Amino acid sequence: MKDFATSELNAAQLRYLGQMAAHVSHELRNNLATINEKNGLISDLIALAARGRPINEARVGQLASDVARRVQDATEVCERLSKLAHSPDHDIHVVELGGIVALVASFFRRPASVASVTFEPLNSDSVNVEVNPVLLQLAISQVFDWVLRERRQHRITLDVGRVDRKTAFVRFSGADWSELLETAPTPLSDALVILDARLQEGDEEHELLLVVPSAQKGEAQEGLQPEKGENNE
Amino acid sequence: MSEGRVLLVDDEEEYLETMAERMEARGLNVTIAKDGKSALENAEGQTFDICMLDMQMPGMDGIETLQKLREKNPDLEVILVSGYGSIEKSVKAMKLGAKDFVQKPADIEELVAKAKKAHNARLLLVEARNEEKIRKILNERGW
Repeated sequence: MKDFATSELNAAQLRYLGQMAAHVSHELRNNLATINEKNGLISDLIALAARGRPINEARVGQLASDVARRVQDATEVCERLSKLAHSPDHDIHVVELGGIVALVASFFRRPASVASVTFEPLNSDSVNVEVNPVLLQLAISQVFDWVLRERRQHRITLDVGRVDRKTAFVRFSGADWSELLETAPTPLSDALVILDARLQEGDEEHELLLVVPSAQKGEAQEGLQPEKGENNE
Repeated sequence: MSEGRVLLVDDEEEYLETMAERMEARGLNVTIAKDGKSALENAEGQTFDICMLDMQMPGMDGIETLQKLREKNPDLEVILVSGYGSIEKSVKAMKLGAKDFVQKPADIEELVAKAKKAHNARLLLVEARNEEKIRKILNERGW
């Protein structure tokens, strides 16, 4: 039974990595398609100039600058892909929680936009956690998937902080989470067990907290003052 | 004179406008739509030879748009031009009557050739239907 649960969770992790890679591929293709057309238009204008039509230098300059901007966008997509690809490098690793949340949110930008939903990471203090990075991403993505399936809300804000010395939280705000709290999908509940994490209601209405173990080093560096959410234990 | 009328549907605005400009420079008449709803509105009042449709768009997605376009105009040739490479969805699109599936980034000359071919095919279809109507009238009159 335990083996079955482990293999199910492994399959869920692979599915997560595959789905995120597919989102990245889509983003890259869109950037490449625009670069291809802008570059093609520059070639068209040069071909017309060769046949005697005066070239509009400002227009060509603008097109070249558009291409450079889309190359930059594509480079950022590749950087995120690289972070995703290196996530399984260590079983347990110290990671910055806000960075992980922003990474998963960035992968969901496109499917969220199709569902008219936004996942908006807010500025938060830096909080380190010591977890399996893929399982943490899987847990966050399962919450996002649930939001996209429900389609009841349009703007989910995300921030991170400390619950106490030993735990940190990701706060999802903007939805009625009671259904998810009652019946979390299996990959999410299994991931929570292995992460030694839990889901619970936040202090305010429509808040969900994903509570995860903090990193010992991060704890020492960032002081011991608990933030909002301390009483949620 | 236009060598083909194209309805180009994509939520990537920069791509849409640049592609439209390049197609028009190659003799096509292009109407752009940023989403499925706008595509259907355009298809309501105009005749197109071909619709080039993105698969993943906010609101009405490519599959739903394809279905509705084909309901309104079964003769309209629809090809999917998408960065979204799901085999499952491509098969579904084909079953719903899409003529082809092209991955982004696409070759403009290939798309232009498809549009011109669709234009010629529609002209032949219109001609054949007119001939059929005339033959019917002549038959009714005993000629």
